[in-house]
Amino acid sequence: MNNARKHYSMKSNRTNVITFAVLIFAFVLSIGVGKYSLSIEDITKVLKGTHENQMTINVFYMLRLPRSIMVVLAGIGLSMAGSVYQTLFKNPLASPDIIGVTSGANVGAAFSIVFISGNVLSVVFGAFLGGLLALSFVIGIVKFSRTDNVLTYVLAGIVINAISNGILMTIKYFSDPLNEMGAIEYWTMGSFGSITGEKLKIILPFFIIGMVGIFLMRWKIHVLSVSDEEVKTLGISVEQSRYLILLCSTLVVASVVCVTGLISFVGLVPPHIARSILKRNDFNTIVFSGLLGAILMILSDCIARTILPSELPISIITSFIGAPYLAFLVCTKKKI
Amino acid sequence: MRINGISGGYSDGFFISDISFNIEEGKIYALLGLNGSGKTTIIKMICGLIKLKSGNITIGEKDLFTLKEKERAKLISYVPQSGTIVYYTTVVDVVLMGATPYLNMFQTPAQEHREQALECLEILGISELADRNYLDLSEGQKQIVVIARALMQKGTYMLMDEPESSLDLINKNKLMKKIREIIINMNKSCVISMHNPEYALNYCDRILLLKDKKITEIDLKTEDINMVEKKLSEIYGQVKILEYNQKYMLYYSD
Repeated sequence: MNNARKHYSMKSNRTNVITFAVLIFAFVLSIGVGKYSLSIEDITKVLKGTHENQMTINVFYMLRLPRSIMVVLAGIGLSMAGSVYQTLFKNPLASPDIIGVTSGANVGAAFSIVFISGNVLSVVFGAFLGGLLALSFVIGIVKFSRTDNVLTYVLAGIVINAISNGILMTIKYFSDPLNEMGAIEYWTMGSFGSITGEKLKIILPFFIIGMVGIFLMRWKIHVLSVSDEEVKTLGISVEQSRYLILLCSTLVVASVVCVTGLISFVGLVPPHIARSILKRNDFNTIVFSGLLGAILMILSDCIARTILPSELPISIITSFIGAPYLAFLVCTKKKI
Repeated sequence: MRINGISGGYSDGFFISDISFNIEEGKIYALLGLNGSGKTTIIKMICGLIKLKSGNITIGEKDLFTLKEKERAKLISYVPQSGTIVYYTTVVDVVLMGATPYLNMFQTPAQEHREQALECLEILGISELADRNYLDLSEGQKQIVVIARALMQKGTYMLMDEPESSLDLINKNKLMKKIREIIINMNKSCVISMHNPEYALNYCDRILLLKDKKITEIDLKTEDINMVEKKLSEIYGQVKILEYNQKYMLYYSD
């Protein structure tokens, strides 16, 4: 192992350790912060089972713990998926939105709210199926066009986004403006306010399957960062591998947004920061952007639930952080 | 490798048909022809990037296209006009991509592959670039890295699509010299599509001349230079081959 490689792996390990430590700190902070605040002492007592106040125990187990875990999963999932999309589409601006996954999920959720029931489970499954359906349509269009390249995916994504928008407007038109319309709008702004242990249990298997898939196919993701022609001559079946990787990352995204609603910019910004810190784009960078995404998500969520007396939707915060960062990238023309 | 009457083309109507020639081991072939004559199409058909409409390609007794992509990638490697890396990637990681045909579905390269990649860089004389970012390299260096990746695939046949097209004069010569060195030393075979017949004359063993979608083969070792001149003139108009310092130059007259 030569010096430069040693230096990189030391740097990468050091950055991961520091980021992980910050993440743990942020996680504890996230459990403590809120209308009913919990001190470190409270948390340790609850964990030891020696806390006497039932209210504190309930807040910890029923509200904060599932919520904080979901926040971390959302940050890791959306950022890692974003990083995978950016590598796969060879486009630093790619995110789950680009191929219509999020808008599909949006339609699914809205459909459930208006036509099935506002019941949490049905919204979760509606969004989930919507996301997967959008991906299947994209793959279908790509198949029929017989030109499997990155541009076709992006164009198919534009088509799916437009169709989803049309369907969404129709659903909104038929919705009850007092209740359902509000629920749809609220869903599109994202929130961790309604996370429960139950919901977490429902989505966890899908999230894990997607993540394991991404992990197993990490080398293929790396190779798919070059042109399709090169990939083919390197012995990889491009279409099959791309479907599988997209399916896994969509599974991760859908499993997150179906319970949280749409969260903007978290799939886009952390991968950029990760690349500019590590100066690499390999699987380490994808994992690192997941950790950064989790930190960003925790901080945004803490702000969302403390800045005003009532809780703010999460996308408001992430947009105010993400958009200026994107503008900064554009203005400085930083290498990405 | 025997290329037997292959035909194929693009959906926009460009079609090339009934192309046949053989590729022998240890030889470098220059694929020459004017713009739009179908050089790239032929290279891509052999690499499996354009589907054959008819004909076949065999290596020994094996039909190339009955093999899986992975197996083909162990026999044939492709060097595009320029590599398409978008993000920060180290040179050694680019070369490591060449190990992909030897990995299982979920496998990532191991230390032994990394050592092989470093060896490939050493063979091409660019070991010092191993940990540099590919995007920071000069065009000439990038092209050599892509050739190192092709070398890593360990295939006998290397197909290169105008690998020197984006290089300056000095780097073009350096690259061609390097390619010749590895093909001869490692007993591989190479087909290079190119624009400049001078490189074909100086660095290749045979010329595949593509005119009106037909191939004429010239063996530079046996063919008389006047005959070569005559054949080249059929494509490029009146040309004269001049010899200077054991190198050939081409004089074009309108």
